[in-house]
Amino acid sequence: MKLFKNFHRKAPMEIAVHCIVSAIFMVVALSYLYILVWAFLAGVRTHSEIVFDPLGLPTTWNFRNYIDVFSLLEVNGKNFLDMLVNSVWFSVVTVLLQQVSTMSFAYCCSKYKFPGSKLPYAIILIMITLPIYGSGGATYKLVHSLGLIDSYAYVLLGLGGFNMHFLYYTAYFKNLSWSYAEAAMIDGANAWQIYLYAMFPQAKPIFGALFLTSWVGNWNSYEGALVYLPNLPTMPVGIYQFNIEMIYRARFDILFAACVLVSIPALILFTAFNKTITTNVSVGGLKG
Amino acid sequence: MKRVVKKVVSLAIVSILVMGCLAGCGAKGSGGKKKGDSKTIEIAFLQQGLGIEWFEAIIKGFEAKYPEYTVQYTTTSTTATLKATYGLEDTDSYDLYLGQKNYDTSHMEPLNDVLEATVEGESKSIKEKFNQAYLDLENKDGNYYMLTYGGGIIGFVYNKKIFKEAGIDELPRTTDELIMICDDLSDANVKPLCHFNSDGYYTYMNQVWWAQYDGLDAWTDFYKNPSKDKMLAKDGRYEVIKVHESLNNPDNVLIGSNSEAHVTMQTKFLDGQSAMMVNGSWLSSEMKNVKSVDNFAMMKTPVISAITDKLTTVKTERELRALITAIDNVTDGKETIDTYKDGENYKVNEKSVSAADWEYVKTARNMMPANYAGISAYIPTYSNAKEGAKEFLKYLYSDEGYKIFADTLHIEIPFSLSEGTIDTSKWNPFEQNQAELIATSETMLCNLMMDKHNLFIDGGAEPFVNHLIVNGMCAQSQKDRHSADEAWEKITGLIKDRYDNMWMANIQ
Repeated sequence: MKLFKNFHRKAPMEIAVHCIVSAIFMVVALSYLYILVWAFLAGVRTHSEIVFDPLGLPTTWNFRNYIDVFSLLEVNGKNFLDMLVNSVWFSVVTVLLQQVSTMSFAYCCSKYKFPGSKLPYAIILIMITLPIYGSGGATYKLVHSLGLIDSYAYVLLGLGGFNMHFLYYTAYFKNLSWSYAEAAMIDGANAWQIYLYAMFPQAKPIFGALFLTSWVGNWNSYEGALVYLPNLPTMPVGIYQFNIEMIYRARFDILFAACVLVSIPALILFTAFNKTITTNVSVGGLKG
Repeated sequence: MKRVVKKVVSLAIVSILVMGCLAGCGAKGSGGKKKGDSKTIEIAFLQQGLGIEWFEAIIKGFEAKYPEYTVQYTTTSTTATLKATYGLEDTDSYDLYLGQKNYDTSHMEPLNDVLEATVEGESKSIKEKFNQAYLDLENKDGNYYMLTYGGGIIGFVYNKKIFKEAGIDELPRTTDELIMICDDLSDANVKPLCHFNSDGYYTYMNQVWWAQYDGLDAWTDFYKNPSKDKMLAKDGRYEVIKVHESLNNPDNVLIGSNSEAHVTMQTKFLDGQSAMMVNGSWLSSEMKNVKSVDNFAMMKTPVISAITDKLTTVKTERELRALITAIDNVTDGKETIDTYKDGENYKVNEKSVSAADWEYVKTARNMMPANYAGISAYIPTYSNAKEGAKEFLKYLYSDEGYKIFADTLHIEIPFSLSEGTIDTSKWNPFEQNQAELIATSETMLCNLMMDKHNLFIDGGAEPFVNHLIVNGMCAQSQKDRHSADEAWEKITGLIKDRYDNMWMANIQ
């Protein structure tokens, strides 16, 4: 078994530590898994069963609850599929624009010298250090003035580049050798081509990792959508409103069924790409 | 050439970025969700226990009657989302809010003309159809800015089957009798009471018991003319806490009451795990997916037994119960007032009762806690479809609209038809019981009056300082439990601490 690979070459103390750490991680992993399994089982039980025996197994298997979610989960005339489409649009496109703009911005500031190239770094450091509260009202007015309330163009707010990922990209590009660019220049590439064909491919792993982590945060976020997109609800907004409604209708079973369904896209993506998130950058392609 | 193109493109991008930064400096009302035309009524609807079916039925009826208007609505389940937009004159496009009580009337359109209106074909104005005591709560310097569209009464809901099996034939008239009934239920191996976290709905009951003890005028005066001395005085609030000390002891209360959510405890209550629970008219619609409430009913609020301190001719618990029975007989139509009249006084079971005592106890007995004033419809002054929004409200309060409301929800608000009454024959027994209680209540007590002192609005003051009295009385752990005196000491300590430093400071 992989877990015990090369055990015969390890010292007894090392084996003991390995076993203890593995056991702890196993318990942590099982606790996360238990929550998902419990939520799934709660979705097939009745409301009364959940209240009277929260930790018990289902006595009735109401898989119909998972179908009823599609008809009951409705916010401002938008059903489950509408909210799914909104969620995909706002999470994917916003994060894509955010990552592309941030990465491009960081690349320019780290690889090219021009007046003010170091200023964004300093500004962002100050921004993440100083707590800025009370800007909600001003932000709402700005977004309203830009005509982005209840608009699919709300994704444009992802553009900018002034966020913490700028620091990651800057550090990455600073450590990335300029030799790749020089090699591309020899082949006649211009600045755009150097970025697109030489530098960006090198940055794919970090781009992918940051994209995924941002996407998961964006997928689960409901505060922005609740305030700025009341008539274009996303899945988290739907679950949030649904949570309150189902409390008043005493339907915990439908609520948990909805939670399970909403978590499936994030689970699939994370399971498929978890290695990408944890892969280190490998350096290759240089001679001499 | 390439350099020139690059410079031009860079300059254009920078200009767009700078313009984006300055976009927020635009003129009022520019961009964003455009306000609809004057014939499109945009409604922000707070969707909670009442659901949305009744609202959609009202819209359908309104649009059929007034085809020149179109209604669009946005639902939300949180008050904060509504309050975030209200008052933002240049960004808010809603013409009508159906939400919770909002004391900030600076952007509210007075609804006096809606109240004075008489719907075509009806014989009474909307004002005449509303319960006057309710309208008094909404009156602010002669103007009415909000009107209710929901809510209900609150009281002790009891399980009729459990009561019957425990041999309890008569409902409690006083709090002492209620405590005795709890003993009878315990003897029958039934948990008498349950509530949900943070004192459940007892906060409403506390107000009624307090008003019963001190009298309605004194209770109202406390809210309109508060002072530090009044807040620290050992008044009806202390008597309320003493009731809880006896009533909500750990033996009487179902375990989990202090921590569980309201739907969880309501589910347990309907399952028969406790005999009584303080709840509201909405119990039926909230729990319709769980269990029928046909086996449940709400009792009239028991009168606080300590009220005898305030009476001159009724001094014992026995005399008080007899007096309440006599009052109930007259209220329910079983007897006429002449049965008990004895000159200027009254005679109950051969005991002479002064007219003042009769009235005092009668007012106390016919008081029910209610939260109608907490569920409010209001129109922002900057709406560009004000007339349409007012027509919508007039439709809601027309006989046609109110019938749709009552027939869909099976609840009533402090309102009546211009002709006839709502047909409750198809309502379930619990819903019919609610309608009877509303009909026989003289006072639907609510502390959300518009003209209460600003100490309680912007100041943040609260007569019980939001102290969890009931939780403390029935806590399982001894260290979390408190007696009535300890609770009172805690409350007065907090009042002394906060009155000048926080509440008064907030309003200065």
